[in-house]
Amino acid sequence: MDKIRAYERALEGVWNLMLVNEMEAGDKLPSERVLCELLEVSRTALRGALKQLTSSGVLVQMQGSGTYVNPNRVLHIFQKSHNFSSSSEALGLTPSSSLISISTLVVSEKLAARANFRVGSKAFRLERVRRINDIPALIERAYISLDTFPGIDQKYDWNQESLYRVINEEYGIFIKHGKERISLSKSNREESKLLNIEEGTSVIFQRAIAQTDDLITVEFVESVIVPQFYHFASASGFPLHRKELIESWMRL
Amino acid sequence: MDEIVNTKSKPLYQELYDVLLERIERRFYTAGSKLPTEYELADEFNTTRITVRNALDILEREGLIRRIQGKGTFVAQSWNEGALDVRGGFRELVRQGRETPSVRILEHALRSAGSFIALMLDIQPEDTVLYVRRLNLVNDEPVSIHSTYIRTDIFPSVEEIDFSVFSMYETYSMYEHSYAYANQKLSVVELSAHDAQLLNVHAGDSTLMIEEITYDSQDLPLEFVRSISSPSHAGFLHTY
Repeated sequence: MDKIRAYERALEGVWNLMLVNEMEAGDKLPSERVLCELLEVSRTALRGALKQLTSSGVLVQMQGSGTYVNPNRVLHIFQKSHNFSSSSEALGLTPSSSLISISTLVVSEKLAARANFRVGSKAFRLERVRRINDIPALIERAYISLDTFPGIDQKYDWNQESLYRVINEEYGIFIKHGKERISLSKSNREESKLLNIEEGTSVIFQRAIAQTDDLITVEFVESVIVPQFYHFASASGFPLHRKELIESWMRL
Repeated sequence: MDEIVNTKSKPLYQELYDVLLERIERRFYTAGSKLPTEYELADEFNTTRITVRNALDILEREGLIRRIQGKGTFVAQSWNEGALDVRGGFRELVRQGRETPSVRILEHALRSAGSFIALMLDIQPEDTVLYVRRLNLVNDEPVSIHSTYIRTDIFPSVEEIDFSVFSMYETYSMYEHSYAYANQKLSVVELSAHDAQLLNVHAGDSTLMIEEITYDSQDLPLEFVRSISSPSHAGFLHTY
């Protein structure tokens, strides 16, 4: 039987430690020295594992202070999360957003094909930076058809207003179906400025279409996401007898 | 001949982008087919290669084309007609087109589960799991690396199965523990030098990582998998 390689023993060891001790966002990990003793691995192996966990945003290392479970990270669960605010609040994070631009545009063939809008009809475009605990986490560009939501571009103060509240409560329209596609990209200059990251940083590019029961488009959204502050999980089914473990694992 | 006319309202590369996008959407360039080279496109549209490259950059970013080093630029399936998620949950978009997939086994060994894998698979740390690390290739181009930990208590002698012939899911079905659903985590991770080399990309590049537990219909965990994709192939689709 093969021995577990040192790097894997370290990586699995840190995961096990976090789960068994039910560690949560903001909790501090033991020092490197203590971790090496606990997990019976070398400094080199441990550092390799910590590097993997910090680069994927599970942990953050603070100069001179140690290693912590990332305190500012939103979890988007495809089957459960409906919007940025509720996903943030569910984790005790404070969501906020600032308006970059609003405009009303004529739907091009390209937008029509993607969003399933009518060519030449009008759409409202809402561009916002979403923050968690005041840190910019993503840029969101939402397109809403004025065919479906007449007047939505005129009546509301989008510095204050929640798009979902307006859609649900003012228009009585609800999301039932949709598609979310995720790919990897690099931030351009303008996005980097808004997100306070270096130009060319790896970012998640998300494109989502949300539809009603009758497959009418409610919104078409493109987001540029800083991976350090946002991650995804999916549960196409759920083992109820393992609920707590799986939920903690997903949150980390 | 299509030509880009600079109307001054849009940069040239944007105009070219619109033309190329239109060709892809009209299926003049079909999914899986190879685009003309940058040089040919520059020639056709009477513009510079820089303009062509900028236009292709946006198409690539939007997932409409894929550039494969040393092979050229290929049209991906548009996301609206992309592989439907038959299993529910997100999973790798398999944009097969006319491509030939193959598998190379990198490691294959029995090991003790250890605490973490035991937790994930609902077994004891001293139980044996089969560890399989494999490289998936499409048209001989490396696209992803999968590290899989398989339970040997419900899959006895699973180490004798040739995973370059049978898929994992086929194997589980043969043992009558068919895949039913998965719990998955998706994050962005920096590639190690070793993995970067296997995927033929630069060390330090970031890519998408999936960590996943799959279950059969009795809620029995079958395997734990950690997968990373080459950045240009990294994509996931969730439908509901």
